[in-house]
Amino acid sequence: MSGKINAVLATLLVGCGLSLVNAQYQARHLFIELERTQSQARQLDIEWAQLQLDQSTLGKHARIEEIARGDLNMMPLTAARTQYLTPEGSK
Amino acid sequence: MSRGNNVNNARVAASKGVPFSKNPVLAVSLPVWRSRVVLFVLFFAFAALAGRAMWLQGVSTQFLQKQGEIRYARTLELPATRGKITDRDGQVLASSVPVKAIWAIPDDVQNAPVDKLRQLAKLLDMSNAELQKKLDSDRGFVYLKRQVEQDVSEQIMKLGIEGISTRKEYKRFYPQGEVTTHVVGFTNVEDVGQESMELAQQKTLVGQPGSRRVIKDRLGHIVEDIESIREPHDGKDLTLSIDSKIQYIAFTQVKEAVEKFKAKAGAAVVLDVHTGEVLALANYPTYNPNDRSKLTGEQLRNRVMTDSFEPGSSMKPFPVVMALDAKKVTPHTMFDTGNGSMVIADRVIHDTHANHTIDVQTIIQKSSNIGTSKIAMSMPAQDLWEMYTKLGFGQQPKWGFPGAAAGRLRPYKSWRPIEHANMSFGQGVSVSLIQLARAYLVLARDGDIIPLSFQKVTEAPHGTQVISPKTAAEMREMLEMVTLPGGSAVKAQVPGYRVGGKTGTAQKFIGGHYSHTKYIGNFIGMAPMSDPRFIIAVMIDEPSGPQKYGGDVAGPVFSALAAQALRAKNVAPDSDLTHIIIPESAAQGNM
Repeated sequence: MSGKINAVLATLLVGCGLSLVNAQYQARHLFIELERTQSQARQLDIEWAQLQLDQSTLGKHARIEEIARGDLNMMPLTAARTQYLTPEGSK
Repeated sequence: MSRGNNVNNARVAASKGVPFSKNPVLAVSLPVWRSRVVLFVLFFAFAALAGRAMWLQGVSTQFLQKQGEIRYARTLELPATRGKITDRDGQVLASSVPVKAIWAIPDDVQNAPVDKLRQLAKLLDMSNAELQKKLDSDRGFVYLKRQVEQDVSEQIMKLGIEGISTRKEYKRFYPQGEVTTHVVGFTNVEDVGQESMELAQQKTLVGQPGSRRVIKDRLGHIVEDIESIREPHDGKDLTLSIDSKIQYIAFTQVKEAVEKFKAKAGAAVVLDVHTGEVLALANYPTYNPNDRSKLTGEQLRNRVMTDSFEPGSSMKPFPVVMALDAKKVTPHTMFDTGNGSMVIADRVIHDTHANHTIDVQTIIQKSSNIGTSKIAMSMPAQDLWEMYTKLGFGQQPKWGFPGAAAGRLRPYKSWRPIEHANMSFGQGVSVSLIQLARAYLVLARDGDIIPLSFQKVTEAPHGTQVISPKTAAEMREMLEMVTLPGGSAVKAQVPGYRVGGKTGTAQKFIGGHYSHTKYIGNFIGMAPMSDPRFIIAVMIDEPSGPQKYGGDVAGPVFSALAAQALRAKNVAPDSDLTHIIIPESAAQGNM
């Protein structure tokens, strides 16, 4: 009788041990995955900041004006060339 | 049985018949103490082992665990980034990007091959001699260069020179450069704010670095966390009140004016009438915050905030509103300003032209010193002092901007009569441009004064009433007349919009007396008059061309700035185009 119980308990013990090994293995895997994703998130954050900076640098009013005047031959609007419309109709 | 005996007999010694193992020769009798000694030695050996085990496990366990941990656990710094600074629409004005500091252990580097060091010097953008000088140090640690960009530092590490390492740090970039720098400021190499908003908001911008304890394997991979992570807290982003479009317009206009009038410097500030937000603050000369190697004090100077000057005629509306509010005069009360000069005590004050008898409106329109003095002196000096104090002159501004000037307003008890008169037209009192602009807010609003803000405001501030709404409206009418034909600042007109304002020209006070060649021209105005939205203040310091007066140098800047700002903000024109003379400067259409 007691021999049987021992056998069952021993099997259980081995089973538990194996599942522990497996759980630990899974945990490590997930942890590595988490690390990788977090570092990716940080990288993307940096990239985002960099892109915002680029946007601001490229969208500088001075640069826009230079391109508008130089490359596109645009001219600033003057009141003399503007027709103002009122909600009731044009004047 | 007999057979068994036979076998036995064969093995025993033939002589005596005793088995070999029982041979008495072999039975050496040992003394008892010897086995005892062995027993004791063994006992003590085990006792020593047990004692040692107890010592390790019980007493020095902490020390050992610590030693063990040192061999596998690492504390990682989790850096926090400094907050971004953006304009009111979210455009980035300052942002930190990770870079590397390159440092070296000089003794280790000395052994490196010469050609590698040459490559290193080239990557660091310095000469060989410079590099050698840095390495020729007794210290165990020298920075070769700080704030090196990521890709350059990677190339340096690829050289694989022994004794060269990198350290992570941040570099602040200012994409708008010289245009916004007088508002935004800059940080030093340690990421600590040095000027303007970077300095004022240092505490909120700076982040709180965190840390975590981890177990690392032999290859340096993180295996797991040991303790809970101390999360890093990034610095808070800062949204300024600045509108980068208006800021750019203001900057280019000031720059153009300084060059055109050959002035020493120029400045402009644009305020939002409803919220007291500073929409633009421009200075020229200026500097590029990304490259401060040749920075001079002249460039660094923030003339809007930290310089105070005698404003001249642009102070005139205030004694007049004081008298209007006290019901001493109405806009149509007549004053005799005579032939352009008036004696007060032993001094003489002058007008530019003889205006004879004119009403209060015309005194402002023509900018009569005599008229303003007469109005101011009809009331006690204390009243004028109180009015100026309520408007914030001579008071330290508390809007969270470092180094803001308080200006100078002497106590009224020490005023002599001539000084009382001088104060009424802006001499003997010094103010900063932003203080002056804020005082005009009172006129543009319904007579209440509000605090200014350099950060975006979500709800309109509550003001303190200084003058009645009626007085403010009457003054606005007079200020509009200044820009109409016959006024002192027709060049400040804006096509399509009704505007108003007041010019000021002050002789600079140098070495104890007023200079006759050095002037500060200014114009403080508001637009559009039907429902004021912007206060625009312009100051041109020491124009050296033929034009020196505020109306001539600062007026056109106001006009161009207002025209573009109103258009940029889609403010509907409130004036009929046909009824307004288009001033030349605006018709040329400088953007």
